[in-house]
Amino acid sequence: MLRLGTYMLSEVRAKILLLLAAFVFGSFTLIPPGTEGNEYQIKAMFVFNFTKYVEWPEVKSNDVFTIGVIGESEIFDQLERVATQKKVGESKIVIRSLSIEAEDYCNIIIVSKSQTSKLEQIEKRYAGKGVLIISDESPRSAAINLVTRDNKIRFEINQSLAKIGGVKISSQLLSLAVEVH
Amino acid sequence: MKKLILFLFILSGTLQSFSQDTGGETQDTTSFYNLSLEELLNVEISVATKKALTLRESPGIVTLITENEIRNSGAHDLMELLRTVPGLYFGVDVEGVVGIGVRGNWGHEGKVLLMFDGQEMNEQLFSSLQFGEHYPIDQIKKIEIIRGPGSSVYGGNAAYAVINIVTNNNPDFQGISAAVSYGQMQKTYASRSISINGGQHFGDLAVNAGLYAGEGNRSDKVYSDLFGNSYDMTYESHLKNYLVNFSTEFRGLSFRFLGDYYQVEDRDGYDEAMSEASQMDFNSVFFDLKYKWKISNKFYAIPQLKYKEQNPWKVYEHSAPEDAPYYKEANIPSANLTMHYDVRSNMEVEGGAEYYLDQATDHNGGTFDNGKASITYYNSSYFIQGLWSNKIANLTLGARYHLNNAYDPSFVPRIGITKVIHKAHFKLLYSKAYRSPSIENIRLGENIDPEQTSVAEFESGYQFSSNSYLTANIFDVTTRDAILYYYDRGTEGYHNSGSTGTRGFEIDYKIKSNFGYADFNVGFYTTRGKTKSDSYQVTDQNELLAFPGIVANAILSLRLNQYASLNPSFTWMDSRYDFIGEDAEGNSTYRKFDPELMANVFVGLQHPKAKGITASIGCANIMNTEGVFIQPYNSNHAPLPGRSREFRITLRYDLVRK
Repeated sequence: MLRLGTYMLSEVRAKILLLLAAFVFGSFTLIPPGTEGNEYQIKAMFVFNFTKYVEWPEVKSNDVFTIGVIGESEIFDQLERVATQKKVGESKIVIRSLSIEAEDYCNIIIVSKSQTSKLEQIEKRYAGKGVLIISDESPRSAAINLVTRDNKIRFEINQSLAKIGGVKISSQLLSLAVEVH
Repeated sequence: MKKLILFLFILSGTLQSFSQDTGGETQDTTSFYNLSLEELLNVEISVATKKALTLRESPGIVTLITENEIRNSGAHDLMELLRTVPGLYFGVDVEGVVGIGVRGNWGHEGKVLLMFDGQEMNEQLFSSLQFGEHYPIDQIKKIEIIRGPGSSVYGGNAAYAVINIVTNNNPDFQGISAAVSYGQMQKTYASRSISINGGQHFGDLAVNAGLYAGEGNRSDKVYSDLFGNSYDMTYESHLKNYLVNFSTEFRGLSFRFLGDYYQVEDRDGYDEAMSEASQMDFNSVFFDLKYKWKISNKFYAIPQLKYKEQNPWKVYEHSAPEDAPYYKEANIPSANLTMHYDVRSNMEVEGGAEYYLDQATDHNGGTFDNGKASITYYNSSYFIQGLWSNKIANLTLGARYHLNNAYDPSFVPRIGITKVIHKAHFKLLYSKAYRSPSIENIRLGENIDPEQTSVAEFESGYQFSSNSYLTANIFDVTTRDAILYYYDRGTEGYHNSGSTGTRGFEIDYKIKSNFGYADFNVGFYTTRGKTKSDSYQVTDQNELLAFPGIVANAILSLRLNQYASLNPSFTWMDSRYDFIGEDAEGNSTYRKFDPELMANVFVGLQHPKAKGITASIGCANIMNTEGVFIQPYNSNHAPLPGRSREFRITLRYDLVRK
């Protein structure tokens, strides 16, 4: 028997259980729920959606669309899940883990939180190569910087860095950015 | 029986109405991948995962068991799942109660903390946990097992491990889930249960409620004590658990009520079996009110009020003649404040203070250490923990300062250094734990002192791909002034032993692929180089009583097709030792149990048309292995038999809305 204070609940337990059951299962209505998600699940979907608003040089078009991740980040696993569900145009998405010294071409390179201090070095290496560099919560924005505002994911855009990287960002994406430099 | 009928009635009616009303409206994770950029801008981050480090980065030796893995395993009892975690085992205490051991060490009383939806389930009189048809798993979302001390964060009961259970009874869960399960041993049923949980948002108000009713039998074999008495456990090892879980959340203000009723049928007693069985109750209620006060984007505070009331080890007046009635109540009101500050994107600090009372009352006319029928101990704690992710490594520093009016103040530090280098990771961890004796430790002990545990761990891992990784750790555990229980021909008590501990390693390899997934792990411990306590030791062996030096597990889930999976699992245990008395010269004598292989196999099925309806059908302990629970200390309780081969079916219905 459950004890609650100094009162024995045995006599009223059945009633309580009935009331709880009625409360839970009798009063349900299908109100549209608010949506929540894992931080990196959301960020991964942002990254995928950016592909609809960014133009890469045609010479870099390929059978696969490559997203590289520099540094340890949960976004890697989340992007792999996106890659199993989505394509960029007709191209299959491939997710790669890159070292900080890597020079391999990727359509998008994501610089994880722990590696944002190396951002400038990475940007110089990929300048003019048609790579969109996205930083994760960096104090200094890359072409696109993912940030958290009021418990929601937002993004900042640095147009000049995008241009240096050799990609073109659409005005529609600029209008959705929380800050444009 | 009436209650079961009532449950079934509610369940069937609910399932019917939901299947009619919602049809194909259930969302799954694929719908998330269809959100547009504009829609994504409105998605909120779930707080629990916001600052979470990956398992590879987190400063602890962590095993995570997911909802999917729980379902596939076919397990019905938490013990079945925890046994597959390297370094965890189970042994018998007294009076039919089964407790837990970690890395060879008996952790039953106050050395392993079990959190169930944020509530500390350890009973407050002796600080013990009770396993076997307890802590229902049908509603669990995930189980995190942290081996090694969690005391700087969680307080005194977490010296060896923390088992953190999170159920679907939380604001993230919307929908309904229900399960019925039945297991049949050779001579009687093993378990039968019904579980139902639902959650709904009403604007900003989230409401969740869950009910569980289950019962079972510890064994259907014959128990024989060390004094020549025997009885058939088929009819005298009944276990029962009811659980009520209610939570609500409104704009950061949340409340939870948890009621846990657990009953053990006891005939094995302390050493010599009793002439008849008696019932023993472990009742707990928890109230938890907290508010997440978001002061800025970087700073939040959580003030929290909690109240826990328990009547553990309650033996009624009409119990067996050999069993003394026991009816004590423990109350623990507490207030605490936790503050979290994101100093920079790579640095966060969390700290706080807690004040609580340890109160107990004896309703049977007995007295406590103060000579009265009631006693109160006053406690306060202050803790701080910082995480700094820098170029060299992730550094975690933590400490807890605890004040108790019965003992000197204690200081518990913790340091963790973790580093991920491409596909490899490294963790170097050192923690201390300090536990003041519990209320009954003090009453039954003579000048009992606090015990201190220190644990050093090193883990390294390698991620072969995003779906396959290997981890290995080495550990060294030392408990000084360990508080040990003893029972000797009607006399029981507690004393401090000098020192006890183990060292060893654990290796775990996990792989996921199109075929399904597999987990292979092994745990090894030895007492070589460590001081052994008289109560726990096996003379001339490098291991301790009850727990095997090596345990290896293989857990597989093989996808047969879109709707079916085959889930075999195997546990191999090295030989174990049981204390059976002393010879004429006063030397301890032991019985050796040979190595054992336990195997389970379950088939998981999904209904091809009715989404959300699943079944698990299979057999636990296929080879009918003995699987006894041995007492991990030398107090003359014979091994308690485990279950015979068990056929089990679980039917589920889940309607989850995101």
